[in-house]
Amino acid sequence: MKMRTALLGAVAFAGFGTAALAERGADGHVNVLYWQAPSILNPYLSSGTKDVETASLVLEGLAGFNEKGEVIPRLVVDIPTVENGGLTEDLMQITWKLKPGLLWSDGTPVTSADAKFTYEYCTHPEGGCAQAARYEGIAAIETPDAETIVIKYTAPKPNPYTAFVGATSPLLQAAQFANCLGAAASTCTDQNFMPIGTGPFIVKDFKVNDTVELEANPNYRDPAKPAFATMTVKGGGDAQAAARAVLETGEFDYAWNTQINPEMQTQMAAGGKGVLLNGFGTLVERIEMNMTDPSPSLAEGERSTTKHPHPVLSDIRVRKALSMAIDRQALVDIGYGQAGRATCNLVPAPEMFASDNTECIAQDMEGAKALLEEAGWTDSNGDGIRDKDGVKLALLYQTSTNPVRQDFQAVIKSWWNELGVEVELKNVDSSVFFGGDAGSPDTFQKFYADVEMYANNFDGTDPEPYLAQYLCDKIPGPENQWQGENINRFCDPAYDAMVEELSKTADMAKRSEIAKKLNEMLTKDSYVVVPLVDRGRLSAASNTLGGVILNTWDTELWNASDWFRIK
Amino acid sequence: MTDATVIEAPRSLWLDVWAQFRAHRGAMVGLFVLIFLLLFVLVGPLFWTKEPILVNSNTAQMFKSRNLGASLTNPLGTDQVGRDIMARLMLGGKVSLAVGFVAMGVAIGVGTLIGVLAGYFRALDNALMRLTDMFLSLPLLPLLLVLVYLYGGVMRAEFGPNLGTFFIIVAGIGLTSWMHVARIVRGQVLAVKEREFVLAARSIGTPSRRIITRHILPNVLSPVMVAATLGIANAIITESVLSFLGQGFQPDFPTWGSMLNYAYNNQSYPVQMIWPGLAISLTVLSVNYIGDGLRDALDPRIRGR
Amino acid sequence: MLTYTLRRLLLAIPTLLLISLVIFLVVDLAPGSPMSEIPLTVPPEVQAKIRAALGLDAPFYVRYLLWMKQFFWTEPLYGIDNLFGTQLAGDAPRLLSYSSRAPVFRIIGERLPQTLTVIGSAYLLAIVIALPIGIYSAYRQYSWFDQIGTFISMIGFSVPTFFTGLVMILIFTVYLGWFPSIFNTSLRVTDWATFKQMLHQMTLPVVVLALYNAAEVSRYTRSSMLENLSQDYVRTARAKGMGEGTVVLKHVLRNSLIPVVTIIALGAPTIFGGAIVTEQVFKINGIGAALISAIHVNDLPVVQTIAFLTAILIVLFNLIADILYGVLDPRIRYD
Repeated sequence: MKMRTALLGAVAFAGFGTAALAERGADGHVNVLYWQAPSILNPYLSSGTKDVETASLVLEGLAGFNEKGEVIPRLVVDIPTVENGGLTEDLMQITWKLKPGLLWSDGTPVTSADAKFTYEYCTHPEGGCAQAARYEGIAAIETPDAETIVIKYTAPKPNPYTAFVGATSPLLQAAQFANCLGAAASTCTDQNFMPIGTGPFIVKDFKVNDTVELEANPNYRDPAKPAFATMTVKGGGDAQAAARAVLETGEFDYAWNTQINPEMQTQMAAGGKGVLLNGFGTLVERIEMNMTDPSPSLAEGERSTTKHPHPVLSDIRVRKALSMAIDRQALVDIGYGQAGRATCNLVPAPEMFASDNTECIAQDMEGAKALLEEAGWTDSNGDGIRDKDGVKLALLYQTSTNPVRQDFQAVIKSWWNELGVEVELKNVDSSVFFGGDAGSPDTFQKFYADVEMYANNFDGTDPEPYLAQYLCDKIPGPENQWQGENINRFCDPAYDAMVEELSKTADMAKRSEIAKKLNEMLTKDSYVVVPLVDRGRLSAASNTLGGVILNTWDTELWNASDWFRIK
Repeated sequence: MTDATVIEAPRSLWLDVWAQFRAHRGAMVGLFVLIFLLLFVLVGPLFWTKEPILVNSNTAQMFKSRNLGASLTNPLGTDQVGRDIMARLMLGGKVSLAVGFVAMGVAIGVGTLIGVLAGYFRALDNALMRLTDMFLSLPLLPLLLVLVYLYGGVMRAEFGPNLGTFFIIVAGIGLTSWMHVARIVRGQVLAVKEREFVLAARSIGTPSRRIITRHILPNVLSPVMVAATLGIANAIITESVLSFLGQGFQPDFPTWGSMLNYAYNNQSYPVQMIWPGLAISLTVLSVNYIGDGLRDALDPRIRGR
Repeated sequence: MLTYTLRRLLLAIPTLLLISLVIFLVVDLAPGSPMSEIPLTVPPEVQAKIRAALGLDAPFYVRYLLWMKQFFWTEPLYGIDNLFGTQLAGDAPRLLSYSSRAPVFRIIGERLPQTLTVIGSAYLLAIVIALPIGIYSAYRQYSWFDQIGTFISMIGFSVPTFFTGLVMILIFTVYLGWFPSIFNTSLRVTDWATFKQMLHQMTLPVVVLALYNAAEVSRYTRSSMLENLSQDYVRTARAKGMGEGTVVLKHVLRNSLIPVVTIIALGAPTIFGGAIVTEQVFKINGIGAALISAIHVNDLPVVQTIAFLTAILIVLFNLIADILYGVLDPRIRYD
């Protein structure tokens, strides 16, 4: 999961030795660069990574994830499990115990009432809470005493580590947000910009989409941390400028998401002032095959619906041939370098859920051609394009507008042309493509194209909700305003049955087995989803910044309290 | 000219203009540079037949040909996915220049129409000039960005990705830069309208449409021509700004602006940025010089001095 | 003059209302959606609730009227409250950004200082260098100074600022490492060291922008000077035996500057919103950068408000230019 450079490993290791001696605020100032600047510090009102991660310096959940994807306690004594009795046998109730003596940064005690308030805040019907999914399936939250939080579920919850776990569902202070429930949520500007939290830092100044000034929280639970007295989180510019500011000029200590092309990775790393860190999560760039007919000759409301199966792509041999013609490693080398690796899986991580399927990695152009011949697609009129029963093998290939995606399109088009497939490329502005506007013909949900490419991932470490997106009843269509998540219109009763089984299974070994099977049903058994690149995080850290461990399961700043200056 | 003792053979107006234009050194150099650039993008591809858009499907070969420096086979090197930059520069130039000329055409067309209508028909004057003033008060670049970014998707869906972008950019630039032409034309029309030959035409019952096309338009030609040259420069810069801000044409369809943007994202090879930038600058510079020369040549007060 | 100004101000109101409607419609009817910034991991039901909470479901005229009310009534009240500590606005809903939920005017307030310092000083610098160059080139027309000056101003005028900016960044920041690559917006000038730091980070953007503006202003100055130098009154003045310095600097210059001043006034609104490209190239988080990022995330209230504010400034400075013309040139009377 984690592929840190050996150098950084050494730096981090050396760090733990000195960190123990440190005292709060001894190391002065640290500069962090989020080139997509934070626009709000309340993760319940924005789901942008930049906002959630910056907010995580201040706001914390009861628990979080470490760099291996394991749940670790933050505000609680330990992680409730069936073994220690915190989680009931029937998976219907979980009990969290707060650490004694915890204080908010304003000096008031943290109590279970804050947790109950946070739940009410996010589930308020008029609040438009961006993280409502984290609190799904909760019947009630009880607070028998000030340090105990009991969450009761409406149905067995095999993965109960969603509510209050990770940077996306932190605890809010009830006293501060009391007047911000429901429709009032957006108008609480001061609260949203300067939340009171339990994290290592407190906000001193917030400039929208520009700068956040922070200083050490005097009431942080570990009296020796954080080592830095003040922190600046600066926004603006682009990934290259961010990488340069850390690696070449050394103006900044840490830069988030420095996605730069492979040549520049090498060149900038040679700057010698810092290192690039990479870590892999669950983000997979993939090609989705449309199982329904997107032909413009069909009536509006029937295009790309289950009424008309796709005339070409319904044949698994065509889908497989298209996948075989792709050289995934070449794509990585062109677009991502260190920050990507070729993959055949929809669920590439965590390890226990990742299938070991690698058969798609090697490009097999001849095999792909033979497969198409076998399926009856031959070039009968000698124009270089295969056809069958008078139908040309021509595809419309769409994606969102982004330089790397356009490079991928150009390269994949050349491979498919070689295979004898005519390809028309199309790119749509991301705001429209991902905009979900039911009136627009260009959203990825409407899928008015034969194949489309984008990246998606899942929240946290449990792939169940992600795999459940491919159920028959989640197919987008006119009847649900094109809001389904089953983009390919894949429908297999056997798949639905297995997802159902997964939702009832608590045993981890069994869950992992089912999840792997589901992943393979979508990829190597059917080629409905053609994964291309497992996209990692690429961030840059200065050589003088110690204690940095890149974490792709929670916020990148998850252990900012442990950061220190290497002298 | 004032000395009437020597009687020369009658010379046409355009010969006069040309003679004056030729005397403007900057304008002549500009004209040659522009002609060279036009030949480069229009005739160049006939001789230089490397592929500008498609990528070599042989991965091994493609990888070897990425980001090459200048050589005999690729005089300007190759880009991030191994395409020849010279071929792309030719194609990109064709698009950039096409945007410049067509957008200028739109602006001149709209501006002349509104200017003539406002100048000739008293009833329309006030309303049209108010409209012109309103357009002049709009924040043009922000609005153009919004227009191209927010409406580009619809146009691309309607006309295909490249043609759609072309239309929205040309329409956007054209519709935001006609106002000065309209003002100039209106002023000229107001002046010409009262001249004897127009009155004469009207008194024999010539319909307004014919008066406008036969008598008025030829007389507003000179200022419109100067405005047109400057309009081309403006349109080319605007297109490159839009593409540079990532709102215009996409990297798989080169224009000089989008090539610059694409190269900027690949800063390890800054040379790739220089060529398109130089091409834009040279074009605009030469067009501006031509505009200067034309203005002098068409100005009767200067001409013949 | 006063009646003229008042009449112009009154006339500006319908124009501005029309502009506000145009801006609102252009932005609002666009097909993009502010929802595109929400990750795919957020389920559709949650997205629908967020939409409703942003008020996106109301018909456009309701939102237009609300925007107008907030722009012209609520926000000024909050402004007064802020200045004088009054409580006029009560808790009327403010004009909020979609993406940050911050009041739009707060965002503008945060962005204004850096825009004003960088773009404003570039504009001033441009005027300071352009005027003498323009004057001297005109006075010594066709001299080598004029030839070079004209050529340079032609280049400054023709080469797009983003290209000069990028080349400068590559040379001075990337290769030579002389200037910082990120503009620090929280830097407050309190002493000599911070002043130097400020100067340091402002140098490149100011130089690039000043070059462009100076080219424009000096071209105007030169042609306006040339026009006046060939006038009869200059010949008369010289014939009277008036000193050359007095003729040029007192008589010709004063008359030549009238159109130049109006050009400078007309260009002033670009200080506020027009330097989008420069801010983008030099990564200055000013108003232009706010506008671009708002366009990218479909933050419609921010886009509409910044665009409309720019329009108001343009109208205002048009008026100022006209009035200045009247004040400076006694031949022009607006009665």
